[in-house]
Amino acid sequence: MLRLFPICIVLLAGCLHGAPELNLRLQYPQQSNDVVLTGHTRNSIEFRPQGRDTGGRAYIDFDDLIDHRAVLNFPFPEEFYNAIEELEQGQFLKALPAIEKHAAPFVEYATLVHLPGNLTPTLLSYIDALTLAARWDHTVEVVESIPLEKAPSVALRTLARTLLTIENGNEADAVKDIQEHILNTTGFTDAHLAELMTLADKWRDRGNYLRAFELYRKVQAIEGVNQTQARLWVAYCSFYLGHDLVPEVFLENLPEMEQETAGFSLKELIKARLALRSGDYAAAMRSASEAKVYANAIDPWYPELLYTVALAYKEIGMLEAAKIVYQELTILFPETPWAREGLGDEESITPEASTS
Amino acid sequence: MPLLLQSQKLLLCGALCLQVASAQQVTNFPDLDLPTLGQRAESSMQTSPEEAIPYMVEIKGRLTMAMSEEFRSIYRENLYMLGLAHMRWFELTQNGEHLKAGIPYWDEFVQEFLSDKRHPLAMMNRADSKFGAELWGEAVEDYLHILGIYSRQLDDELLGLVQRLVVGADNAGNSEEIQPMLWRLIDTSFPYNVRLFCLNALFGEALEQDGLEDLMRLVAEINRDRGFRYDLGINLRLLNTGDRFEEDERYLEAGLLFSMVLPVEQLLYAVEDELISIEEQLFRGQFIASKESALINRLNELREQRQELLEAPKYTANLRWRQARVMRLMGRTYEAFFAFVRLIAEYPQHKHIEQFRYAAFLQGIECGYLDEAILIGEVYLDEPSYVLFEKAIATQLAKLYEANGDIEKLADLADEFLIRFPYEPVAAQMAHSLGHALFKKGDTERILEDFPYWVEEFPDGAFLESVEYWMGMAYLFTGDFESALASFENLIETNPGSIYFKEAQFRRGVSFFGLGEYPVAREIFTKWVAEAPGHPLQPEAHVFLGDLDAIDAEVESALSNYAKVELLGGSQAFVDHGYFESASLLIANRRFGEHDRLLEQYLERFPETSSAAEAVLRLAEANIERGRIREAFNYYEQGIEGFGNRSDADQVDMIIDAWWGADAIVRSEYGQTKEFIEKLLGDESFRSRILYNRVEQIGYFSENGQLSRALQNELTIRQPLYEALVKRTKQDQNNEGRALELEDYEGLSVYLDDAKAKFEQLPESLPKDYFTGLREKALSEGMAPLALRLWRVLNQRAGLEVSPEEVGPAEVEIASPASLVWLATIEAKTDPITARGILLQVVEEIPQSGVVGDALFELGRLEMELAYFDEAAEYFGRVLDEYFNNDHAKRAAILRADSYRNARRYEEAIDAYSLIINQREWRGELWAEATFKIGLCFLQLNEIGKAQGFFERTYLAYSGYPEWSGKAVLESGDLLESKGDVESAKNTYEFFLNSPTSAESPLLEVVNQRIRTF
Repeated sequence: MLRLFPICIVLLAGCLHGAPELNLRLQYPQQSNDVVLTGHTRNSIEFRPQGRDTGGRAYIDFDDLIDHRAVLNFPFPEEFYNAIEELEQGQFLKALPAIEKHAAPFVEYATLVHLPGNLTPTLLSYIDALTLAARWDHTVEVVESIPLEKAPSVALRTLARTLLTIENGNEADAVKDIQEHILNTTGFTDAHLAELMTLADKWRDRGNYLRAFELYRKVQAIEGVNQTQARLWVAYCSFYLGHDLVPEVFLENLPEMEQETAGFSLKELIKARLALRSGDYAAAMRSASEAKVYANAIDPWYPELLYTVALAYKEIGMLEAAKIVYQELTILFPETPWAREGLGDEESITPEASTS
Repeated sequence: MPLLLQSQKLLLCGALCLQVASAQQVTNFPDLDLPTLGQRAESSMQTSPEEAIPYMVEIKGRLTMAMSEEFRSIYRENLYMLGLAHMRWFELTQNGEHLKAGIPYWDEFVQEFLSDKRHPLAMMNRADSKFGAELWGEAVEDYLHILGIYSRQLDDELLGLVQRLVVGADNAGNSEEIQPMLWRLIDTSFPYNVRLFCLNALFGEALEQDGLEDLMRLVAEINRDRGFRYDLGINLRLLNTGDRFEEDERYLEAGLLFSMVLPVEQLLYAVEDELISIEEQLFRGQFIASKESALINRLNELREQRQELLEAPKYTANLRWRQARVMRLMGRTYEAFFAFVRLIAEYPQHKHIEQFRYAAFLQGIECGYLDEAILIGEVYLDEPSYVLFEKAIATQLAKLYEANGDIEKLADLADEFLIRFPYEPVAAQMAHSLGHALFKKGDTERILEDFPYWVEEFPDGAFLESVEYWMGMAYLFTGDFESALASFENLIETNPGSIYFKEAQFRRGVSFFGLGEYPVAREIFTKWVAEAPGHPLQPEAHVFLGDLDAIDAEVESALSNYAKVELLGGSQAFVDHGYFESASLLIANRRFGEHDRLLEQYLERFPETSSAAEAVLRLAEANIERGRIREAFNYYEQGIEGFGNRSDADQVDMIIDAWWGADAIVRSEYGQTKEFIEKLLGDESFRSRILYNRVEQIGYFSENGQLSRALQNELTIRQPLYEALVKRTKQDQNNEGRALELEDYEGLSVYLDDAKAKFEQLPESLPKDYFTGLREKALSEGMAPLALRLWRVLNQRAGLEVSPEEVGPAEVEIASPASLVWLATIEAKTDPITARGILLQVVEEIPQSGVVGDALFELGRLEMELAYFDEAAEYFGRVLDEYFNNDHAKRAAILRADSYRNARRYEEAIDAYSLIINQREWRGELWAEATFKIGLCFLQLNEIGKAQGFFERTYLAYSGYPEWSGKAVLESGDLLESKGDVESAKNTYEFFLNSPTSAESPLLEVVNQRIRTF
């Protein structure tokens, strides 16, 4: 006899949860089964066969689902997919009702975000739609329903987008709530932490060093591939937050870094900034030039690095070299604040004053 | 040429034409009705458009004036097909004339049927026809027009259109005209392939036109767009363009472009990262169903890109080299250094690795990263397969070793290269560097030992001149002026073209100077100065000429020569010499005003030098000599305030000491003068002794050393004052007798007034109070070095107690050299090791300081206390050898000998004591002590006779020094008694007891006891 499911299930009577029922296609590599999702426990999903509800329920452990490479696909009507297209085309107000209609029931199942299938993308699209429609409170509610540590890392990417959009809308409380939700979550994987780093980078780019600092600090506390980079950025943000000791403490506690290591250039940049702050221009020159040589022009700190190199040249009296670097900065990165800063500095270098 | 027929969907004009009932204007095919014309046109359209065209033209002619909507519609379709037929004809024949012939039909369609949905296609076909017909200008105009209206609607056709626009504009020679459109199409709202094409077209045009501004704008554009940044083609293009700029020596542009290029690995990482992310997403099924195909398409695109990158040329090493090179050429020295270092690390097997290393080595030197440069150079020389730059590197390395004083490494290097390349310039350079380094270090012995060996090995070596020159210099240093002269003269004679020729001529003069042959020296220097204008040794030559003038008392000429030292840019040491020798000459000639102006000028020009304090000191002393005490103290004050807080200003401590000393002298001069004159006038008995008893007079003057010399002279026989006083003084007066009045002796009154006047110019506060106040002020104002200096003087001169616990590393950190020596003496009480470290710091790190002699002396004492007698003897020896004029030199001499004696090295001790006895100016108690101690040494050597001889010599010749004569008597007596010669012993003791100074001896009682035992 063909088994309904390739895994062991238990049939029990009675619906244990108040969660909405959702049509679900349980897709295995070799077969698929259409059922109705009726709820979930801490470790399993609960469902029943399609058709009339006779009260019987089946359960499959999450681990079994994953072991058997099951994918949970929830079918949607054409209306939903059209709404997704509209959302992507920027017609979010038009898209939201349909998305909300079909996605809102999934909030109850947000704890299943770790299971393969389209549940997570649906929730994330819902968050996108709510965010774009400026329904901040509801956005926060949905975000907070997601156990971030279990969600795929792409969820954090969506949250980052959400946060920045809300920030643009000057909704400080919502930003704070979501950021806190992130900061209060524990058990992040490397992939999650990489997304947190990206979000922190975005805060930093916007000059919001405090929010960036909070996230970098969270990442640096966890051993993993992002730890060193996060420590560097903690030092960096700390420098711009005006801390005296923190940048140096974090720099001192870094592991030995080869020049080719990602972040070496950043480390040297921070050292150069600290040296400039303390008037040790020779040390600044050394760190800045080494940082420059081991940096890529696509590194986010590259414009600042060019500015720092130019400044160091200027301070040690190599005015011609300083001028050239300022020019490179203003030509390559004309829209950065560093270019604007550099332009002023470059103008202050008169040809007569040049000694090199 | 691309041919693009825009629509192949031929409308069946024939079918439409069937509806036409009658013809209106029949011309060429009178026998054919419209439907037939249409059928014929359609049937031959694809295969023989030239046959179809006449039918279409006929149809057009017949319907030209048709007004009905139906006919009008047929007319429109026919017109469109006419255009297409011409294009098809061209397609089959490649004859541009056919396209040209079709253009009027397109013109008409475009003008007449604006609302037709094919209007954009017709416009494009017209433009393409013009393009195919090589009507470039018109084609470009049409394309621009189309883009102006339809750029957002063209979708798939857009890229082709833009490509033809660019080709057309190029052929029409009006590429500039299309630039704004291309810039517009770079916008991110257009498809990436179009944007990329436009970017490349603009790039090409900018390069063609040398449009730097446009190029830089494009570069910024590339930088802004992630797609462009990661495009392999663009990166290669940037690299190649950078190359072109570099070849044209336009380094800024080249550098900019090189800095933009991403290494191919970087491009690959980016593609792979995205690939992984999409694969993961697809695998987990975490996407909305409608997005799946987009994800798969992207995945395939990325795979293609990855393949392309894997097959791309590996340009990263090339890129990094160019980046480094251009940075060096731009003068971005520091970046260039690290760029070359990176090349070395990442491409150790690169074919240009030697160049990388050499460039890094040179850049390292330029950056002042000398340790790194040395390491790079050493690694290069250690690799036998590296030969391209070994000589150049060795030459530079030799200079670095020389600068570092790393003699051993330099010697090894010189040995290697001299032996490998004895006849090449590198050998000469090596010999020069080593010679210079050894000379600078004072190791001239080694020059004289090692250099001749090379000459023996390679008598024709390229280094002969260097050897000759540095041997000459070594001889000069050791004072062997004759050998020096011989070396220099040999060099001049045998190598008239030598780079050392001028120097050797000059040094020849120095040799004669050393030999005391001043006229010859003068002649050489005078001639040399005239013949070697601008030579770096000119200032030194004027120093010698100045010194020669001073020797010959040619004051004006000396002053002039010394003045030239500064004018000719002499080193600070020579300038100082010039100023201070001039000052001494002026003082000697009592030209005080000029003296003061000269030193004031020095202070104005060189306020930051460590000798500035010496100038202040000299100014003060000159003023004291003139009795201008207030001015002198003003200078002291100026010196202390100006330089007191600078740890490196050695002379400030001397100023502080001078203040104290001058104050004491003026006070005691006034006190002694006043007391003397009062006694002289008021006490006839005293006056009688002073006037009539020369011995007593000398004794009094000796005890009262601050009494004016002039006054002392006036009290000698035949002096008017003496004669006047004698007249009113009895020779054997034993009581106070007659008192005299000061007003009767104007001469005496002058001395008293003079001393009083000086006294009254002293600062109000006593030195102790003044310096205590100054120290408190310095402490409150955070002037730690000054406070420390004053602490020293208060401790040493005012008895202010300082315990070792109160001083530590913080004080050492800020201390002046004199303060360091003092701190060491404090520390030595509890921590001799630390004290030793501090003193060594002075000796080794500030060898030019005036207190090095003091430091060596203290080191000697320290080692002596620690019972390291050999070390102690060595330090005392250095005081004598290097700082003979030091205040401690006499003590150092005796302690050196004592150290040998304590170390039981009696022969050396005897030599050391004998050295003291041979030093005439040390005659006195020191001789007594040395003589006695020589006796002790002989005693230890069991040479009793000699010992006895030295003891006897001590008590006989130096009975005026009872401490030593007493000891000598006891030792001598002991020897005699042990021989059983009691009588002689007794005589010896009695001789001592009968001597006038025996009462002052601490051994008096001991000798008395000995006598009593007999």
